Amino acid sequence: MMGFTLNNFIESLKSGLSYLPVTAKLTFTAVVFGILFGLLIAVLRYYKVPVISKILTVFVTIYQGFPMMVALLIYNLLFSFYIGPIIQFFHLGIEVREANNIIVGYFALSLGAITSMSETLRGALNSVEKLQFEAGYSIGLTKFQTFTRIILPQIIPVAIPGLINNLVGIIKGTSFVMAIGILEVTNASLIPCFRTFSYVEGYLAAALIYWFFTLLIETLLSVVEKTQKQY
Amino acid sequence: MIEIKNVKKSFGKHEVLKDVSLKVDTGDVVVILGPSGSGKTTLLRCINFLERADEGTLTIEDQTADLHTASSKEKLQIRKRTAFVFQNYGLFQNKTAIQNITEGLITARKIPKAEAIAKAEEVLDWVGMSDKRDYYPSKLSGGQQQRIGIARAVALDPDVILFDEPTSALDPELVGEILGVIKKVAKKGITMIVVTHEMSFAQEVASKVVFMDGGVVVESGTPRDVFYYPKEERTKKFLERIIPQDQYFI
Amino acid sequence: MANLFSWERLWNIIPQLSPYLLITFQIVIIGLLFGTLLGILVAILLLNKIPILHQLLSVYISFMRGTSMLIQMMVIYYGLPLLLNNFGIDINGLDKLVFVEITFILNYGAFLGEEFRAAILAVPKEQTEAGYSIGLTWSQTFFRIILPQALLTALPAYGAEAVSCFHLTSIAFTLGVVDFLGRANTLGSASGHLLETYLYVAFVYIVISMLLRLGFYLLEKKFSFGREGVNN
Repeated sequence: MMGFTLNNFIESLKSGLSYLPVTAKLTFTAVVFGILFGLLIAVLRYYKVPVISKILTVFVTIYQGFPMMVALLIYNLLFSFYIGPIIQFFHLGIEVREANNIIVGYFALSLGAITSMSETLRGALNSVEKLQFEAGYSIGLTKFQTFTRIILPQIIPVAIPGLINNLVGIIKGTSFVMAIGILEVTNASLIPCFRTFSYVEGYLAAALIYWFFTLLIETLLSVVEKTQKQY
Repeated sequence: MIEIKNVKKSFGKHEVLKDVSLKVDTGDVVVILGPSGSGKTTLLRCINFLERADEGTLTIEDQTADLHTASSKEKLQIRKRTAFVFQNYGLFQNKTAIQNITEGLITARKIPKAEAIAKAEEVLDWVGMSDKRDYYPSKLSGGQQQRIGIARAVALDPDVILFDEPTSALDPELVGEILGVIKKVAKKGITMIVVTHEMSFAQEVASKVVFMDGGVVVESGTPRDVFYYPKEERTKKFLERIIPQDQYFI
Repeated sequence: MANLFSWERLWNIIPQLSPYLLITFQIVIIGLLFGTLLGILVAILLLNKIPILHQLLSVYISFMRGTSMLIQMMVIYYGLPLLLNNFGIDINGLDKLVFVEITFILNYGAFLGEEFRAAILAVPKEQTEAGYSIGLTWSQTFFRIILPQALLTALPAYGAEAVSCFHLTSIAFTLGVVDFLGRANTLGSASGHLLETYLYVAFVYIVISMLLRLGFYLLEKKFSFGREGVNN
């Protein structure tokens, strides 16, 4: 094993940063799906919609016991099984080995984001007093109007710290997709290392990149929280 | 005998205690009165080192400690000779009623466990809380908690018990019964310093009343002297506000 | 596609794979046990605000929170031997499992340290004063009065951390550690039937996660110092 070389570290940093768009897209997609479907699940469970809410409860409970890494490995395996037939079926005209398994990363991260964010949003929803709903109904608003005009604006500030935590978790989780060979920040940081056989620079570079962005987000959160306190 | 000399304490620029001295004889019940912010609670806390005074000395019987520079060993020695009853009871939330009492006996004073339990049961009975022996504080009412708080202090057999507004967190209807328990403590002949707003209690139980205002002792004397023949203008004004006129000049 | 999944193969895998759960448990238990002790130490040091050390601890916690454990593990695996080499200590021959455990301990030391700090601060100041007032020393007050209450406050968060710790053991195989998932990979690859192995792994992870949650839920009820009635 070789020692730490600053030059290699900078090379790794450059290489890693050049793949920032990939990690950003993975994160962004997961967050968008997470918030949309997370909110939907939270609402369906909150209003105890028959059958669906039961199914969702079981799904969320089970899925929370499912480690992201294991999920990635299973989805990737299924992807490798089914990508051939899918390409044939849709006449996509590409070779099986050309097919990019980044879709697996999108899928696994999004599903993880949906379950974790649905729990955050459900918690925020539960923190709203029953009286707020009743007050909405009492002035003749429909269920939908009460939810979108009265309840939703109230749960957003409550949910933000939790959602930011979820976001940091998702960003960190994107590094897991390196295990199934997707080229993102972590794997890209390692590219220069394959020449030198010294990996510490690559992982340190990746760590630094993630650390920078999670710190940035947490700093933004504390700024948001400070401005909220002014009300 | 307990003697506090020249105690000074500031929080930032605010001078809470400006040179306070106080002498308490053994068996005395000293009641400290005064408007809020007069420094009476701070004085009590300084005696128990819950607050570090800027200046001053404390003598308990044969032991004298500097309230500013006392070593942690001295601090501990003083604390083992004193006991404190808190406004919000201060019961250990992770200990049952009896454990709250035995904790100080076993851990701080190294009394054998069986002896400590026997002692604790005795005081529990004395404050009428035997049936709540194994209850956690969260299951007890404020009045019950304060009984345990007093029992905990009494069990330690201290040279002095410091009461910091022991009834002001209680519902009005419970104040009387807790004052009754404190009277029982006084009758045992235990030296006590009590910070309270309960005038009738002070009149009835105190052997000495100290009136504090603005961080100094304005006036002190027997309850009769202070309540009926106050010399200082500030004392008169304070009493006028608190005691109804008809009671005042009986 | 027809032979993608077979129950028979699944049954065959169970006895071959299950013993390796012990390695996974070992990572969790050592990680949480020493992580908890480190976390208590970190919390105490944070609360005492010792200059320089406080800043160092903040950086340490921020790094552990801001990067994934997978990358931390790799940094430690490749970096620690280099670092110690400067001091003339050679740890190149060390079992890979040790590096995984070091990662877990350092990571949970930071996370739990933060949680314990918050939980200790949540114990009312009067509890400390009451301890002092009956003549307890700082350490007696802290360990007998404050810490038990703080740990109870931190218990729900601790339960969540324990579940996440169990989940994160799934990164160990990337270093080549043969734990539950690591063994599943080698078994599955050798037989060419990864799906059954992975599904069994997933099933076990899910069941144990649920049991852990249930366990912590019961623990919370048991050690509530009589508070459960108040919360209802």
